[in-house]
This record gives sequence, C-alpha cells and structure tokens, in this order.
Amino acid sequence: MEIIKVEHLKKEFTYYKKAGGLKGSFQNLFHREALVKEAVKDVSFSVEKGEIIGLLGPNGAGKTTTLKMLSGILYPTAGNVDIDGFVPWERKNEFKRRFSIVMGQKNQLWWDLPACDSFYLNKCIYDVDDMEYKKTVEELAELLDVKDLMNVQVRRLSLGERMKMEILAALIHKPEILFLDEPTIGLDIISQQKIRDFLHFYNEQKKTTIILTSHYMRDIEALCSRAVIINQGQLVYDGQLEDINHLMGDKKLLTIKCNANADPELLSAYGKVREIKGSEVVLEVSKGKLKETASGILANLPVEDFNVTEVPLEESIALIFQKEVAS
Amino acid sequence: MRVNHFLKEMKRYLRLFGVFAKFSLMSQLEYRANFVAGVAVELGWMLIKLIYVAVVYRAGVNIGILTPDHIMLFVGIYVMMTGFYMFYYPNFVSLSSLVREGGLDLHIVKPVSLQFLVTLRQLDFGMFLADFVAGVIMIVLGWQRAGLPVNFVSVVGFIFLIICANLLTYSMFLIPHLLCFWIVSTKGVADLTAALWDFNNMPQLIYGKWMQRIGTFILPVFVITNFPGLFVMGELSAGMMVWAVAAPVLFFFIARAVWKCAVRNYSSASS
Amino acid sequence: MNPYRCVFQMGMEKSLEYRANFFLSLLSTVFQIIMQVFLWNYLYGNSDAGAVTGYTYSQIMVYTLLAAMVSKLVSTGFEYEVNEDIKNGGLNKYLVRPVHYMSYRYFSFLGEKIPQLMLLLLIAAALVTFSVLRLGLVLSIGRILVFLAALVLGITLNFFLFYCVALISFWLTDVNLMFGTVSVVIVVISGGIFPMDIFGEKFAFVMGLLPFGYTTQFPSNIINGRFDTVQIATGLLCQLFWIVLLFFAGKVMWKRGLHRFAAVGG
Repeated sequence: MEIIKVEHLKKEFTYYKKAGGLKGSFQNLFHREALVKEAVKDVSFSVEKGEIIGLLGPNGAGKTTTLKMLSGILYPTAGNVDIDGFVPWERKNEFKRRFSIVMGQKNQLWWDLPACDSFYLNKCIYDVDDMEYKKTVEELAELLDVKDLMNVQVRRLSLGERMKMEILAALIHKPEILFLDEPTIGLDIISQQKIRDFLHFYNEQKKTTIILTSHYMRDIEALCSRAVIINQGQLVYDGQLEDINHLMGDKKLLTIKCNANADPELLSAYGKVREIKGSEVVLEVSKGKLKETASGILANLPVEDFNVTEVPLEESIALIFQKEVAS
Repeated sequence: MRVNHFLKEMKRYLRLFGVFAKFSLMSQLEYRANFVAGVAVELGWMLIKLIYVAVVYRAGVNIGILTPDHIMLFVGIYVMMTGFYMFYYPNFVSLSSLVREGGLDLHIVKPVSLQFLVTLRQLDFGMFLADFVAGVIMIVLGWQRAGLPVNFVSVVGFIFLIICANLLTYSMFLIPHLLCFWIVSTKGVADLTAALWDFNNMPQLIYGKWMQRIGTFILPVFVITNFPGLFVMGELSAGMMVWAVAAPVLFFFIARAVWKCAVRNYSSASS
Repeated sequence: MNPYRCVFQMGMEKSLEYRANFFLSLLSTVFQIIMQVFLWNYLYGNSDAGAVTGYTYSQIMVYTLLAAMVSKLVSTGFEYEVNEDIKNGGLNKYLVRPVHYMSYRYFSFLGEKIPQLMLLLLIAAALVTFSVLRLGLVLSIGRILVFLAALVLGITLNFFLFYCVALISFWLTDVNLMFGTVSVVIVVISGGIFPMDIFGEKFAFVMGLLPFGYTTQFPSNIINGRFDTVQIATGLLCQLFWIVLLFFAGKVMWKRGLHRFAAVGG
C-alpha cells in the first residue's frame, strides 16, 4: 500500500542580490534585484507502507527542502503530496500526530534539563497515555542503550548520545512515518553504526515507514533497499540500491603511500591512476579484482600506507546524471 | 460536544503551560548566579520607577484626582504588569534567531498551536518574581493608604482588568517582534516599543490631551496600567470599561492575523 | 605613533560602528525626558513645587533636558570588557606589551566618547539655546567653559569609578552579572534621573560627601547657575579629589589583583 505519494513537487524561492559595500546597501534601499532559485524542480516518487528509503544527493541538492515539504514546514510552489490521505502543509493536528521528523543539525531537547524531561513534554504535546509513555520510553532506552543517561542534562551528553535522545524523543508518540534528515552527521563511526542498527531494528519491528537523507553512502547501504537520488533539485534515479552500485561500475579507490616517489607507469599496470601527489597515489580498481590487486601491490611496491575507499557519492551521482542525459 | 472539546483543549494547554513553567524554572536554577543577577537588575530598574513616586510624594501634590497614594497604586500596577510582561519576554527576543536559524521548523510539526509553543515556552522567573512581589506590595500599600474599598466587586473587577491588560500587553508588544519574519534586524523596533512601555511609569493624567487619546485608542499602552486603577477608584466610565475589554480582544486578533501572515511567509519564502 | 593615540582612534572607530545602538538608546532617553517634562509641568503648574524642590521652574526644566544627556555622556561600558579580560586570561596580551592597562582603557574610553560628545554637545547646545530663549536661562561664556571642564572631569571621574568596580573581577569573576544593577543605581544617585538635592538638605549633604553627584549633577547644575564662584571652585576641587583618590585606589587594586591573577595562573 502506498502511504506517501509525491507528484511533480516543485519549490522556488526568491532572494535578493546585493552588491557589496556601502554603495550596494544604498542601491538596495531603492532597487532590489530579485533572483529566483529553484530548490526542487520536479520530483515525483512514492513510498510503500513500512518501506525505508534513502533520499540521496550532494549538498544543496534539495533533499532537506523536499523533506520539509513532506512534513508541512514549507509550502511547495507546485505539485502534490499525499501522505496517508493528508496534505502535509494543511498542518492538521491529526496528520502531525502520525509522523515525526529528526534533523541532525537541530535539536528539540531542552538544553539544560535531562532528556527525560523533554520526553515528558512530548508526551504532553502528543497526548500520550501515561502507561504507554512509560513503556515506550523504557523500551526505546533499552534499544538505544541510553538507560543510564536519562537523568543527565542534555548539554553534558556527547553528540552521539544526544542524537539518540533526539530520535527517542521523536518516537514517543509512535509515529507511523519517520523523516530523518542527516541523522548521523558529524558522528563517529561507532555511533553511526549504533543508530543505523537501531533504525533497522525499529523499522522491522514496528513497520514504520522511514525516509532518510544522508550523504554517507554507508547509512543508505545499511538501511535501505531503495534509493531516490536528486541532484540540483531534479530526480535522477529511483530504484534498487544494488542497481546503483552496479551503475557506478563497482569501482573502489585504493590510496597508496610509498616511501619513494611513485612511478606512474609501474602503477598503471594495477589500475587506472587517478591522482599523484608526491609519494601518494590514488588508483581506481574494480571491486572484483580488489583483493588480487592489493596483494600484488603490497608484494611488489615499497608501500608505507594503504587505504581502500568508496568512489565519492557526488561523483557517482554525476555519473548517473550523465547517463540519464545521454540516454 | 464542542464545549467539551474546548474544555479538554483548554486543560491540555494549561497543563503544557505548567510544564513550560516548571522546565523554565528548573533550567534557570541550573544557573543560580544568572538568576540572582536577573533579580538584581530588575531591582535596579525598580529604583528608577520608585524615584518617580518619591518625587510625587515629596512634592505632595495631587495630580488631578490622584493623590500620591493613588499614584503609588498606579505605579504598583505598572511594576506588576512589567513583571508579567518580562515573564514571557525572552520568547519575543529569541523569535528572530528562531526564524533566522530555522529552529521554528521543529515547532511547526508539533500538534499544538505554533504561536502558543513559540511565544510562551521560556519563562523568566527571576525578573517576574522581583517585579510581581514589588508591584503587589505597592498596590496593597497604595490601595490601603488611599482608603479605596475592599469588596467583592472592586477586587474581582480589578483582577479581571489585570487579566485583560495582560492579553493586551502580549498582543500589542508581540506585533513589532513579528517583523523579524521579514527583516533581519528588529532591535530598533523592539527598543522603540520598550521605550513606549515606560510612559506608563506615570499615570496618564500628567500627559497632554492628545497624548492621552493616542495612548488610549491608537497605541493603547495607557489602558494597560491606568484602567485597573481607575476602576478601583470608581472613575472608569462605562464606555471605557467596554474599551478595556474590547482593546485586548481587538489587538489579540490583529496579532493573530499578523502571526498567521508571518508564518505563511516563512513557509513559502524560505527553503 | 604613540600607542595611546592609536587606542584612542580605535575607540572612536568602535563608537562610530555602533552608532545605531547609540541613537536608539538616545531615543529612550528622549522618551524619558518627555515624561519628566510633563511631570514637572504638572507639579509646577498646580502647586508650589519650587518651594519643596528648591529649583525654579526654569532650573528644573534645564536640569531635566541636560542631565539625561550628561548622564549618557559619562556612562561607561568597558567594565564588561575588563571582566572578560580577567576571566578568560585576555589580560595576558596586555601584560606582555609595553602599555599600561589603565591608560589603555582610559584612552580607548575617551576615544569612544568623542563622537558621542560631538553629537550630544550639539543637542545640548540646541537645548540650552532653547532654554535661554524660552525658559529665561541666563548664560555666560565663562559658565559654559566651566561646564565643559566639569564635564570632562565628570567623564574621567566616572571612568575611574567603574574601573575600580571592574577590577573587582580579580576577586569575584562573576561580578559582571552585577554591573547592570550597579550602573543603574549609580545613574540614579548621580542625579541622572532627578537631581538628588530635591529630596531635602540632609540627603543633599550626604550626596555631597560621595563621589557620584560629581559625575552628572554637578556639571548639569553649573549651566543652571545654581552655584556661585566659591561653590564651583569647591565642586571642581571635589571632582579632582575623587579622581585622584580613585586613581590610586585603582592602582592598588590593580597591583593586588595582578598578584592574585598571576598566582591563579590567569
């Protein structure tokens, strides 16, 4: 069953150009040049109930703006959104009780009080029954491993702990739909992993529909089977995640640091040389051949340091984007 | 059915307000030194308010129908109303950063009135208590010394008018702060309105006729502190009584309309 | 260039940068003046207020118009910066340089005052002219010069007063939370709202023994012509006396405080 349906969503906003300096300020007083920016151009997709999808894109692609329209914070310039029979920006309370949004860079917790107080406030705001509230908090605290932190002031928590509390606060009223905007931004690897595990488990158990934006590929890989990619406000891909990996050419990047200046010719035998910075070389290697190539390099070259990374998401998206245009 | 629903909502909002009050107090007690400093600053400003009363007592003259004791009552009302205003004033100040930094987003998605949530969330107890206590003392003292009647009608009417005055204060002084949805710096406007508030330090009777009219009907600051006092003295005409109730309602609806306009602008103009 | 001249110029630039704030604070002063003018008009119009206050109608009006301006002029604000320097160790950067902290603060403060002084003197000149024409104020060049001298001394006196208050930060780091209250109280007892001598002779006598009145009330009342030559001379001497006293108090506090500062480690 489709729970979220987005059709031709579009968002423009105007801003004003200002020339620098005092002269510019004076000119501004009398004449302002209005510029229109299209944050979201024409985005359509739909989400099944209980599904967890990733909304991907580089910074400024329009991910957050899309999420804000889905949660009714912003009005779209054009297009429709239907969430469980509601139009988000009509802001009906009945609708608001059905979803929750967590933004990685904003907090809703009271800074100087323990997190449990903020939970209690949400209980009052969402009119949650006492017994149910207690049960929910206990259960979630257990799952998120924050039981001992309930009575610590939020300002004393680490970033990772705080994010967990933010997520907990957002789930007090058992929303059917959860929007997560960069929930792992700025967190260390372990905290990221824990939050991912939790979301995975929670989605399986409660069948909550989740839309997640992130620019960490790992988040998306671990949680979503489907991804919607937008770039410059436009939808460039909507489909299974495995297919993207395929589309990206299954490439990995090998960064090698040798103790002498590298010989590009010698290296190009192992893969495509992307970049040489003194003794540091970046090689592009296909995923299947990674093990083989790596052991070859380690055996034959004076390697000091060695690192495997993914092809950056921006690049892959650009690739997808080019392919879209080409076809 | 509708009445029932209304009462239930009312109860919910009152409860939320109680939670806000409790949390604000708890937060402030985290920083005890700041709390004490807030009280001290308010007491410092009180000295300025009091010195006006001292001058009046020193001169020993009536201002129209007002004896110095009456003036003490009026200034007491002014001090108490300042306390009520300062109680929720921090919200007005933080409104502009809430808009600029997008903190409003997380409030919009909550199933309660956004205006309620944003304008009555942080409550300052330090300033409130200092002014409230001092104001009440002055009111009681002035009331008694002036030999004003203490009966059901005068006390209940007085309290009712104070409630109306609070609604008027909230509405009238919220409006200039709402400009922050359109312009970046609202400090100028805010300072200007704050200065207007101080005109209430003296009863309206000392001002000229035109100033009194403007202050009663166009920017009704005088209604806030003068009307409750005039009522207790039995000097508030029936027409003014109607205005004492009508002005808050009128300004509340204006504030409400501007608020809605502001939020609509926020939702369509930002990204 | 002389370092203090440089500091002086920086202070001036700072003051020009924040001129919007200054204009706004001026506006609330104007509102306050309006209220007081109405109050005095009423009191003098309906009673023999002059007998009680000891001020004639024109004197009280001139005072009302002028004292608020003088009070604004002598007001400080550097105490927060001094507190910040002491609290967060910013003082170290002055200690390693060949400047004296007190002088640094003084010239920076004077620099901030100059642009304000220009504007306020202009306004004051307009108000005084108005007073001469409409309120029957009698004025002489000599009196204006004495007023200016007393004003500069008043500014200096208030500087040393607040410098001493600011240096309390060496012992109580959170004293900055009290600065707001202290400055409001000092404005009141300096005569920045009403002249303090309207509250009776005893009160006036006590105020005469304290330094506060010499910052605002004394200069304002010179224009008013409330003093004869002897009184003016005495007043100026009192100003000088307090300046010297507070200067040395500041020196002692600085020396002791620095000892403590070094001991704590800044």
